[in-house]
Amino acid sequence: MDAQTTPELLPGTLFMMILRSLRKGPLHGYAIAQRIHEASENGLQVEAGSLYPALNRMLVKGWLKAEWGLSGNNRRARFYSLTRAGRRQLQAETKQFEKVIRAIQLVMRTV
Amino acid sequence: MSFREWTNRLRHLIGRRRFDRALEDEMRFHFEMRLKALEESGFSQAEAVTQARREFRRDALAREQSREAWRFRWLEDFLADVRYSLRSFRRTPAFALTAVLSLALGIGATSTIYTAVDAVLWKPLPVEKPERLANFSAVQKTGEPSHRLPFEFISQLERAGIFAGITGEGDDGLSFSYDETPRAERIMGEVASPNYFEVLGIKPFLGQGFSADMRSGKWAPEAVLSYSFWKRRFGGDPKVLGRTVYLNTYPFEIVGVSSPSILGIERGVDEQLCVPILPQGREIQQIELISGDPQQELGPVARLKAGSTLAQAQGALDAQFEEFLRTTTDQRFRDRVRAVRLVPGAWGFDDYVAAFHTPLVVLMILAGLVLITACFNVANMLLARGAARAGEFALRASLGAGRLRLARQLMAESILLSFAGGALGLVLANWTAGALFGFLPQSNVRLAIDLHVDWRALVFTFSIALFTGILFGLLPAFQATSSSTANMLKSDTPTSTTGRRARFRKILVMAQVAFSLALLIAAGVFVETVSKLRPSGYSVNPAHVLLFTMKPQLEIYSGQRKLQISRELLQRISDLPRVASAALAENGPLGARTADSAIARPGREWIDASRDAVSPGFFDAIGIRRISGSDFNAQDKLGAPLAAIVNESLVRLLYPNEKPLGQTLNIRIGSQNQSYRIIGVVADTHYYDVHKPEGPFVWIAMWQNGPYMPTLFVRNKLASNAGMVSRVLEQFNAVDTGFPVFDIKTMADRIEDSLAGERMVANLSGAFGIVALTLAAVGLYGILAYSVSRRAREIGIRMALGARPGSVLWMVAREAFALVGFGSAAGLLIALASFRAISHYLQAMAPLEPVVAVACVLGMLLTALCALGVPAIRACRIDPLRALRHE
Repeated sequence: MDAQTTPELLPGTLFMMILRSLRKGPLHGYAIAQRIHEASENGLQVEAGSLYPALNRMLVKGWLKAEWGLSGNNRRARFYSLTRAGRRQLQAETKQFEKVIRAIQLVMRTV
Repeated sequence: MSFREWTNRLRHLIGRRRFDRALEDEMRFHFEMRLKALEESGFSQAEAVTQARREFRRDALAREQSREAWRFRWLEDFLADVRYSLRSFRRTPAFALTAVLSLALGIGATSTIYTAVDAVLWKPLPVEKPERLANFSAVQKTGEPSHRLPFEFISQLERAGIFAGITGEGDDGLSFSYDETPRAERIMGEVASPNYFEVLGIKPFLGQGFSADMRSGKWAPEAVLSYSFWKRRFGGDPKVLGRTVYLNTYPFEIVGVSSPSILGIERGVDEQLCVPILPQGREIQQIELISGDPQQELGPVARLKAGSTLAQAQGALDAQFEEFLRTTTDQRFRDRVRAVRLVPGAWGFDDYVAAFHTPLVVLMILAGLVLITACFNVANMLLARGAARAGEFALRASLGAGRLRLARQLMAESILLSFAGGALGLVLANWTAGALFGFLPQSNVRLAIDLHVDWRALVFTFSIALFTGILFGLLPAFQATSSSTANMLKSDTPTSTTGRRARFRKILVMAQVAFSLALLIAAGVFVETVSKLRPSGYSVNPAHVLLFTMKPQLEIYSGQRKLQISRELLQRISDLPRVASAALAENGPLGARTADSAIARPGREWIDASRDAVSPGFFDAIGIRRISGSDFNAQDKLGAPLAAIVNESLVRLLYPNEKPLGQTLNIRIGSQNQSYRIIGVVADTHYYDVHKPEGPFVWIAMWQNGPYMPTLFVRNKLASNAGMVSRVLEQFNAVDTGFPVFDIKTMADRIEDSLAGERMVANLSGAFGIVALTLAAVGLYGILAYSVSRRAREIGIRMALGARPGSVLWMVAREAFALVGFGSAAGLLIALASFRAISHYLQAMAPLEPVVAVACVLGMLLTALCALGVPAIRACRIDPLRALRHE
């Protein structure tokens, strides 16, 4: 079964993971949460309570755009996709994130 | 916030309801999907619902946060404030209307004057990139610098290529004829280098400016009409291109019509057409103005090369100036000019409008005072309103509205008022700006100013509105929110706060009284100034003297012919019935033109004197008193001994203890230096300048000098001038139709024109004074009415105890008179102080007469009585019983 509790997300990484999960094409909100859940080998669960505020903040910033469409089971759902600015943002955040992680790893190994 | 974010949020603001529905749908979808997934992974239905509900426990918060992401907080709050304000104004329309009208008057006055000052002085020329233009300032060895340079030097600068382009411009009157119109017309013509339109970057309205051939050096008689002249004289006919017009009888082909926005680079003048200057060394006998005389002076305008600065161009110009001094044959220029400086040229030349600088600045200050009074008025009304709304604020505060939130609400109200006032003021300004230039003197040069309210005026008006809105709104906002909630909720018993507020309102009313009194006194002094300046020395009524100026062009009329025409004309017009006398003067009194000469007693020092040339009978025709000796007569003609008439000032200066008649006087005219015999003495008048006392003056005989552009003075025997003008013009037509007759008006009109600046200031400051007085009356009424209603109970008790209406009246009146008294004293002080400051800048301002000051204070008292009336009557009618029961 699903984990009852999920580890705390590193602050600021939710945006990045949403952007990343949309890299290959548009998804609706539930699918985004699923994608992150699966990709983390069930390690992370994004709740609707944090997903939708995040999605809306990113819409305002112009990183995402949203369109209504039909889901796999033929229901009306809102699909999110990356804009050009979103792609740029993903690149920048990924780079920054890798740099930080590498630095943290260095510290954790050597000290 | 990035621009995209801005627009995204704005878009959201409009489609807010749809957004909420979409979010709702979306989250329900998510919930259902999750429920299904849970069921599929083995939960029972009930367990799945519980689990999903737990995961969605922060559902409402999420929705709120999602919405929050899009919010445009301050804009939404602002819109809410505006809606609320509009509602509250609808409830108190009298308040809103009075406030908006007060502000409209204040802002309208400021905006009108701003529009005028901007159009006359500040607005850059409507040409391409005016900031890249440079003018020249030829620094003289003595005297004022000039913006003109010899044609030869301008050509040299053009060849040197130190500018992206340089063009020269000059103007003069021309005789214009076209189609069948019998008489030639007088126009102001501009002469310019063939590249004029190109360098300035003016897109003509029709045609293309001067032709390409011309610009490449092949001169042809081409003319570009000004837009307004084309509209007026050619009825806006688009087929005008290619037609022929005659300037001083020389044919020119119309090749274009200039853009409507540009009147020329001479500020304030409507040059009616523009013709190209001839190449250096060539000339046309009929038109001196366009001859390519190397020493003819033109006003040059240069366009800086891209990337080059004024300072860089100055370096190159200095080298060219040295070079020019070495090579030129222009001895006069070499003797006179010390250096040539480049100055920013975005504003063109202001020779014709410079005289309006001081009057307009004075008016700007006065308009600012009106605006301040209006602000005091509205602040006062807002304070009163704040007091009345104390309960409302207390309620809102107790419901949790922060003090800042309330203050912001009040600010929104005042800014809304000021913008409404600004919009109405703009309408007012658009209306009155035209009237302002009814004062422009129209003489031989046609003054024209584009007074359209443009984006500059809009920006100015609404910045002023915003500024005043904040200014007068700040204080009431602070006051209304400063007392504690508990205090405010306790009914409306007078507390220390309301007392403080009333005291503050009294100070505002006193300030209003002070400023409006100062404005009134200023208006009084300016009106006094005009009536003092209006010359009174003429012994005939100037309204009965008609003036006709004529210009037989010297290029097409010989001196002999001009004399002949003038004599015949005078003969014919003197013979007309109802004509008391007729005479010619070259310039005449108070016109646009003056002349002076160096004069001396033989063997003595030369002094400067004013000069004019007149025909026999001139002094009697316009009513200058002759003191002794005789007038010129028909014998004073070419070849006869030269005669001169002088004024008393000259006699006092040169012949303090001698008889002037028969004395010899040397007069230098141009390069000629001749001896004249004094045959008469006349009284001093303000002949050329109403602002200065008359200095030494000599008149010489027109028949010995030859007319150039003389004015005919015709004195009518009767009081009415009706029909006289057409009868005189008939005589002109009978003599010759080849020269223009223009500037037809009475001597009285000419006197008024010479006072245009002062009259403009006097009339407008009078209007401002009345506006300020009205505002003060409104302010006084407001405070008195408030005070009566606040003291209704006290008055009621007094009356119940037997106070007579008279003593109640006195109680109310005492307050009014104290306010007006203190305010007036302050106003007098302000008037005295500013009078000292202003009299430095305005020549010939009348002194501050005590009579004027007293009259203004009385006017103020009268206004106060009017404002007092209604509240006083209301106070006396207070019914003690009802006043007491009211509590």
